[in-house]
This record gives sequence, C-alpha cells and structure tokens, in this order.
Amino acid sequence: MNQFSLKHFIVRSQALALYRDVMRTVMKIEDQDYRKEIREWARSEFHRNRSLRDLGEIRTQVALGRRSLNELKLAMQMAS
Amino acid sequence: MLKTILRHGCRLRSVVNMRLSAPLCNNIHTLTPSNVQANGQIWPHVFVSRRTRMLDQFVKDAGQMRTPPPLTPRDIESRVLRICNEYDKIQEANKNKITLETHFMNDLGLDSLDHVEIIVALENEFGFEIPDADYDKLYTVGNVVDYLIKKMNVTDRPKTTVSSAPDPRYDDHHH
Repeated sequence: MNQFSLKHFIVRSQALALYRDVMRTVMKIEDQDYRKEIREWARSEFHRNRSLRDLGEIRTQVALGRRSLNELKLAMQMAS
Repeated sequence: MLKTILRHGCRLRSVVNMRLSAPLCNNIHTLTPSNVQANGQIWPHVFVSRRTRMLDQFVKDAGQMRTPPPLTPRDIESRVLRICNEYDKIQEANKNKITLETHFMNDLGLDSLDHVEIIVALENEFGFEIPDADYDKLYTVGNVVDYLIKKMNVTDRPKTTVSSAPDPRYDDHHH
C-alpha cells in the first residue's frame, strides 16, 4: 500500500511553501544576529516535526507556522 | 565714526578672507574670457572658478550613478558557486569541489528544506523571485545556472551599453 498519497504530497508542498516564505522573510531582517537566530529557530521547528505522518497533525503544524510567520512580519513592520 | 568704520571694516575683511581661502586666492587676479559677461561686466575669477568647481562636482556626482556592467554567463556561474560555498550546512570537505554537475541532494547530502534555503539565497543574490513551481527544476548547480541565464537574458557577448568607464574629463579632482 502506498503510504504517501496525493494528500501527503499536497501537504508536503504546503509545508515547503511555508518554509520558503519564512526564509524569504528572514532575508529581509537587517540585523545579522537576529536573522541567524530566527533562521535557526525556523530550522529547528521544521526539523523537529519532519517525521510526522498524520495529515491532521501536519496541517495543524503548518497552520501554526503560518501564524508565527504573520506575527514575525508584523513585528518587522513595527520595528522599521 | 572712525571707530565704527574700523570695526565694520574689520568685519568685512574677515568675510573677504573667508571667501579668498587658500585654494582660491591664487586665482583672484586672473581675468580670462570666461570671466567677462556679454554685457561687459567682469566677474572676479574667484567667483567664476568657484561656480565652475561646484558645477564640475555636480556633474561628476551625477556620473557616479552608473549602470552596472552587463552580466556574462561566467559571472552568474561564479556567483552561484559562491552562494553555494557560503551555505553553512555543506560539509567543509565538499565546499570547494562544487561543480556544475553537483546535485544538491545526491552529492551534498542536503534535504528539501536546505534546497529551499539555497534557492532563496540565490533569489536574494540576483534580486528576483523564482516561482515556486520552478524549484523542482533546480536540483543541480548546472540547472540553476542555465535557468538564471535564461531568466535574465544573459548572452555571451554583452550588448554595448552606456560605458561604465570613468570619464577622464571629470577626474582631475582626485578624492
């Protein structure tokens, strides 16, 4: 039985898209130390959850990540 | 009365001395054709030379806004290789052995998240966003270079554009 269905493929693409948006946002951070910190934080979060296989859990994590990214963007806007 | 004249005279003299500062005062006694206005009024050379100096500087500053030199495929290749070498997740052993055939996952042991990071770094370097769908085409260094060459319309022979060489007319004032 094929463990990785189309739904998995879609959800994986969404997770990668989120990671891409996070990295693009991180590149806009001026402060090099802060940039490194946020990048390490994002990496650790994604790597921590990389072995998840349940679709519901993955979707929840991606949604949480999206929310965190929005908060980061807001914080950057307010800082500039 | 005399005291007032002397006092004001002294003040005027300091102003005149300020204007005739060292670089200018050696020009003060020259009258050149540029000094002479059409109606016969003569401007002291000190004022004319100061104005032309300011104009020269202005033109020179405008000339500093030069177009960057046109890109060649070799530029793109070297920049891509530099970005790859700067990526911190690549082992030291692999760093200087990256070639066009290097595959990010198979040869460098990176995963899909690292791949995203590298492509985003390249987006940042070259200044434009690569669409998400194209990420799947960019798994080897050679593919990346070809893709960038195509997207940025880079040719081998750079088109003749406004030269970015310095203009010798405005370079007599050295920094």
